[in-house]
Amino acid sequence: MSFTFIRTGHPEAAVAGKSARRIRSVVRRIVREPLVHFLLLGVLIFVASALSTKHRDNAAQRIVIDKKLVVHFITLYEAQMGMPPSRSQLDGMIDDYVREEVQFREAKRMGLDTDDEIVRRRLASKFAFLQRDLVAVPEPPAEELQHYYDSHSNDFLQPASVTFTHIYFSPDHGGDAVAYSRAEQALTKLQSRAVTRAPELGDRFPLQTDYGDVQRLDLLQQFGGSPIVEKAFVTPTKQWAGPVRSGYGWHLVYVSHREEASVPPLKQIQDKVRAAYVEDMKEKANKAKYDALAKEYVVERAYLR
Amino acid sequence: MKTSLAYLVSAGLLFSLAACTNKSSKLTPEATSQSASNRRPANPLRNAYFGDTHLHTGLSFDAYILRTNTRPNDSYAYAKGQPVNYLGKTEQRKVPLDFLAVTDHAEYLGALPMTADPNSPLSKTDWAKINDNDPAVSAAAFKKIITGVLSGRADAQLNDPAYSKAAWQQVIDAAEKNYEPGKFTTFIGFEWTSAPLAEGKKPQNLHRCIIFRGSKVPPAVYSAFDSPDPELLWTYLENARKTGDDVIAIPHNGNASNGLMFDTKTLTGKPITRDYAERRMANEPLVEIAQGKGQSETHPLLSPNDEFARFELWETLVGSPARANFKTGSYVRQAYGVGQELQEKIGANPFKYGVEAATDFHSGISSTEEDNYPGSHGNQDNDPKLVLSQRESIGGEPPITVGVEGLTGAWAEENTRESIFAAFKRKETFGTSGNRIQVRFFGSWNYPADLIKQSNWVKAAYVGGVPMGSDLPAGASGAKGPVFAVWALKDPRMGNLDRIQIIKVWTKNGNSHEKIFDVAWSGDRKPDPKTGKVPAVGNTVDLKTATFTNTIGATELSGVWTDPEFDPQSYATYYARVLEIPTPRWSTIWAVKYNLPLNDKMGNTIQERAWTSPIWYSPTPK
Repeated sequence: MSFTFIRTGHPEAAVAGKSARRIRSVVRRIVREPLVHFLLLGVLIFVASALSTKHRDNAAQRIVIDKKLVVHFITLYEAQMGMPPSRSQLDGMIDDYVREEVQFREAKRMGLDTDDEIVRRRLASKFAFLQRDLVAVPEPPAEELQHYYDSHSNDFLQPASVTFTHIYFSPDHGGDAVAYSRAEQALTKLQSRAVTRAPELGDRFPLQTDYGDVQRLDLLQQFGGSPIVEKAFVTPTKQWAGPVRSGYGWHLVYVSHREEASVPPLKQIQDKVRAAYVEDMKEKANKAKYDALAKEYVVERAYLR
Repeated sequence: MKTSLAYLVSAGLLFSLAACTNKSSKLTPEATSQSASNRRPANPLRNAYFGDTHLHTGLSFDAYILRTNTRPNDSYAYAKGQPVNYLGKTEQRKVPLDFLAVTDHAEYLGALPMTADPNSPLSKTDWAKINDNDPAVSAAAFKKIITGVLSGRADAQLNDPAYSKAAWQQVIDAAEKNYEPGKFTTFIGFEWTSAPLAEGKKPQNLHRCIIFRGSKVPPAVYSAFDSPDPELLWTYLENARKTGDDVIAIPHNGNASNGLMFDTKTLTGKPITRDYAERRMANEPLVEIAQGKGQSETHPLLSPNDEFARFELWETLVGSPARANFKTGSYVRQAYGVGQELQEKIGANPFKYGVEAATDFHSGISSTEEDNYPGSHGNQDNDPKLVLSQRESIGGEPPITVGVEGLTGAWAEENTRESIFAAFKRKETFGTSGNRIQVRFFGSWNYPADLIKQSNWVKAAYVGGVPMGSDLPAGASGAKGPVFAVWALKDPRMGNLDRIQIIKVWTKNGNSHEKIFDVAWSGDRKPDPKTGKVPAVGNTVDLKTATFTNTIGATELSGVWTDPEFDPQSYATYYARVLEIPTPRWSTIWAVKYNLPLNDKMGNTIQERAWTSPIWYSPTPK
């Protein structure tokens, strides 16, 4: 809308001049009318807003594929496939990205990210992930470590282990009963001598003759869950015992040393205890951090009313 | 930037997923719980370590559909001898294993469990019918998925790489968490489930298990949807080696390949070339000779003179009741001959495989103890009444046919990834039908006849010859035949040993032959003067109680044997086979345990066994 001032000055306009004067005063009244000012302002604001929205919309419709993004696609592909993508493969990846980006923006415009369980969870876990382990756990002082070790000693329990040697009697030479009696005879011979190792009194054993510091699980795999495994862990030390059966035949066993299941002294497992302590402290710090955040929120359990 | 936001969110999701499945947030290998003195010292003469290299948990599409509830952490716990919940019952090995590779199917890896997750879009698709309680509904959905997989057409929803990547991370994390160097070894892996269809929609098994040496593995697996062609799988492996740890592929179920596994043509129909042969052997040093779906050593019709050939046979294709065509290209013993025929023509042998064995169980637990087997295919075979009465199945053979096999034995200095993987690469491995039979096999031109009686014979054997998986060094031409030393020790929990045999496959001018020699046996049996065969060992099995006694057979057997028919002009493959005395099959044990009639489709007793990697002879020096 524009205002044109009506020029007068022609003789024909004498009459027109009189009506022109009347028109001029009407116009002057209009121009001074506050309502008109408001209308004008409204129009101006409407136009300005329409123009700026169009500009914003244009920006929102712009999807920029810059060099950085393309390099990123290439690197990702190379890492997976061990070679750079072909031109058509790259174009395909860019097309996929554009499609996803359009869909993403449209989804946001429609407000699809609100009230969506999956989006909510992803954002929450992203936050949790970024917050985790931000706390640097300081080196624990000696008494702290000692205290942790004392209160968590069961976590560091070492299973029982045993050191022993044995003599083997194979049923392949004459049968099971013969092997047993040979073992018995060897035992009588041994008990009259102070001998701590004598594999030559029996048959050649295809696996180990001497076992150092082995645990129940190791013996289980060697001998397959036969009586010799238990025997090694209960028989009195420093004397020959048997004959005891294994899946391979008969044995005499001499246990020289046995460690019961125990918690090693702190000095021996310092690193392990320290690592467990640090892990524990991190868990506590993460929890404390969450608690501090949660305190800022008021939870109103409306469902209980 | 919106892109980095998306990636960060995905990373956050992955980590939270990982945290959901593992109690501990640690992703690095646990420090060994043994003190330095407890860890078994490395043995330069090598120990036999036993493990499973082929196992499926609920992350596999088919195992999930069968209601298998286990995941990789459960598999490792079970292998270590800990109790595990399988289908609502507690299962536990009597003797732990030494190593394990969980190898879930790459196809739809980790996708099927998401159909039950109300937060996943998959739960709102038709695929969620898999979880329906009505067996007719879930069976129909199962059929649809299987048909898709077998025809190589991936469903876009299920094949979303997001599921696969998340599940792959779970697989990696479980392997890392459970690896205890010196005590228990885990290997990261997956199965490439290629089964190109023949006419009449018959799936021909070309499956391979992919086993990584360490933890530097590609971010994505390679599935049959990517390609069903082994030559493209090898490209994936070669790329993986460039950017990370070493990796091998182990093919299995030649018996169900309809002749494709050891075909003289490639999958694209071209004749095998020297390049192809060398590439195949560089990527695939070993073959899985036995597993739940039968053994692929040989078939009675291919080896009519082998009275022990009828053992755990699986004769249909996988997922189909159609009989497999096995006249060629299906069994390893025949393939050794064909490989030598090709070597005569093209200068390289594409089937020069070392041997190992595994389970392929779809329960997530390596339950290889014949007397401790709860079924292996989820709700398909955990009901003894059904299993013992069923003689047919939609999936091919009925569940009674599944064997409680097998295990890989690896001769390694210590129980670590590096040491055991090195044994895989040099083929110093053997396969067993599930028992922990130990067997050594060496070859030389001049071992003395009393080698094994010597006090440190193993050292002498290594120094004076080559172990299983090797080539004989070039011998003096016209020399008398090679001398082999073989030794075996029974599984301490199972049957005594019957005998050790050496099986020879030789080739000259395009013709191959096989012969079996009995080399060591228990008791004072004498070989039949006409046939040269040692008579049967006997049978102590009581079918009414499903027990046996070790009053026959031997604890340990050994022998030094010279080839009496050696021809320096022929290629020859020699491998050893160890047989136990007859013991009750798992199906017999079930019949007695659950008071049901015997189902003798597979026989009531079996002679468990071990097969070594071969030692090869070539007429022209390498």
